[in-house]
Amino acid sequence: MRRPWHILLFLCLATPRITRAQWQATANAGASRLKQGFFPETNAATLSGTTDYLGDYAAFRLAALGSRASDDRLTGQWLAIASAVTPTWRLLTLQATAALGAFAQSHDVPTTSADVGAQLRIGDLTRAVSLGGGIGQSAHHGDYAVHSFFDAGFSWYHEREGLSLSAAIGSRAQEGVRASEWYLADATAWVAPHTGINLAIGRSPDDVVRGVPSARYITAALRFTTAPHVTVFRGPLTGPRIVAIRSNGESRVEVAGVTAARVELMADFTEWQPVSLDRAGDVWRLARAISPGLHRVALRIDGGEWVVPKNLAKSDDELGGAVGLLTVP
Amino acid sequence: MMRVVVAACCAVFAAQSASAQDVADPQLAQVIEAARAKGLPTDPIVAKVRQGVIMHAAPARIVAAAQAVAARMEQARDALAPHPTASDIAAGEDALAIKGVTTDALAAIRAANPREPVAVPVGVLVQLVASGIATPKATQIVTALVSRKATNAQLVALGNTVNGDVARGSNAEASLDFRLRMLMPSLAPPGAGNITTLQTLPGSKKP
Repeated sequence: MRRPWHILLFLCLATPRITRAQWQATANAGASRLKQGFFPETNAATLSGTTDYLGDYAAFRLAALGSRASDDRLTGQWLAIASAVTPTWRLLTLQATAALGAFAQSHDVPTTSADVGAQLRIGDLTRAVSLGGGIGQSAHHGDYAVHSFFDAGFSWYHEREGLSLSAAIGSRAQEGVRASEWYLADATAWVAPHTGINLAIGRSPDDVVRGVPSARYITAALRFTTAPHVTVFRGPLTGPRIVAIRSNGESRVEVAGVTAARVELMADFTEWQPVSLDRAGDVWRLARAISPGLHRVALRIDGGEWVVPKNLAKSDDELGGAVGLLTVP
Repeated sequence: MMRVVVAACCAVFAAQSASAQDVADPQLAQVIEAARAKGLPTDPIVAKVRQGVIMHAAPARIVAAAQAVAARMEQARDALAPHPTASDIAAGEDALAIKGVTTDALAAIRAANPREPVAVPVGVLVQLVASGIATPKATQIVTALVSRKATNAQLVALGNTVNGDVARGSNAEASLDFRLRMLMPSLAPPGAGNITTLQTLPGSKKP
């Protein structure tokens, strides 16, 4: 589990901030199954956490991971990464990164590593790919062995409604041994704004400095984060929905999601007089000169009660009722 | 009851085409005349009266609502100084009717765009606040988008999608964060705006 986790953090660019520098923290609690060379397969309970600072042109991440295997072996590791990021130009971003880390295991002395690298990212804040490479050294403090390595990798990131997906693949060249490939795939389904279910699979490269062969793993975990996410479990939006459109200098409103014989609209731009809408396929339409800005509207379906369209925020109209707040472009 | 309704309708008519002297209800006439004297647009007051009449609101409630509209328009005009349009003032008035929206928020939006109409950014601010976004954050987001030259269509799309997400049960902040991620790459980089940058927005602060 050690190296893919390390390398993904190293190669994947930090998500750029949206509007201002910000901190965020993430924690994972889960279970893993590992297969390493000719050793018997083992299970492990894992606990990890990251803290990120995301600034305009810099990012910093501190991460830690602890595990307890079914053979009672305890492992712990931490990693600190500092990055300098260029401004984005036509979806391209360059990043230079330096990382320090350490790994410890029960009945063994710790190893440490230091890496520097560079990455090129292409994409936006919801989907991106990056290419990167780096060089580093790791040291085993028992025999004072020091090994140099070179990493090259490709990573992909995609965030869509309720899902965060990422994958990476690469190769590590190390002194005196053949190159060792690694890969990982990570998916989180956000079941609540701050809670997700995470599944990850991966393969680590050989760990030459410790004389340990590559390992494959699969992990399931609960992920908690301070940054809220759109969740996967959202109900469909049923009922009347209204949208204002301005096209070629002309404005109109369209109402969808209605099965009716008659739809009326009442708004400040109709002088609060009920106006019947015209059916146009699946939508009901009213073409009218409407000034840009905020307007208050209500709908009536088949002569029923006046209602607020489902997709609008509601406001008290100070007259004992409620209206919807519609912004016209 | 009937007398007041008729009076309200007369006030509406008077505001549109004649002096308020012939208005039957002196309170409504006074509100409209006072607004006119202060150089405020009277249409929002007339619209509120008309809405009250159409919705059969109690006369006292209509008068109170009209007075509240007039008071908020004056606040909005001051906050959106120096040259607010009638639409700006109307949007500002609507915004101040929403709990949590302040004159400071309106002034911040004006500061981000001192020369152009701000009715649409103010409308989106109201949409976000009404959806559950804290006013300081909504103000900071809207002013940042204005500074980065977001179009009215982009601003409205953001407000609408966040409203829609919240109506489907999403957390408002999560929705705003996600929708912003999708919008930001298409905007000018920070600092490209000629008015202010993201780091120097009024009221911006570290979380």
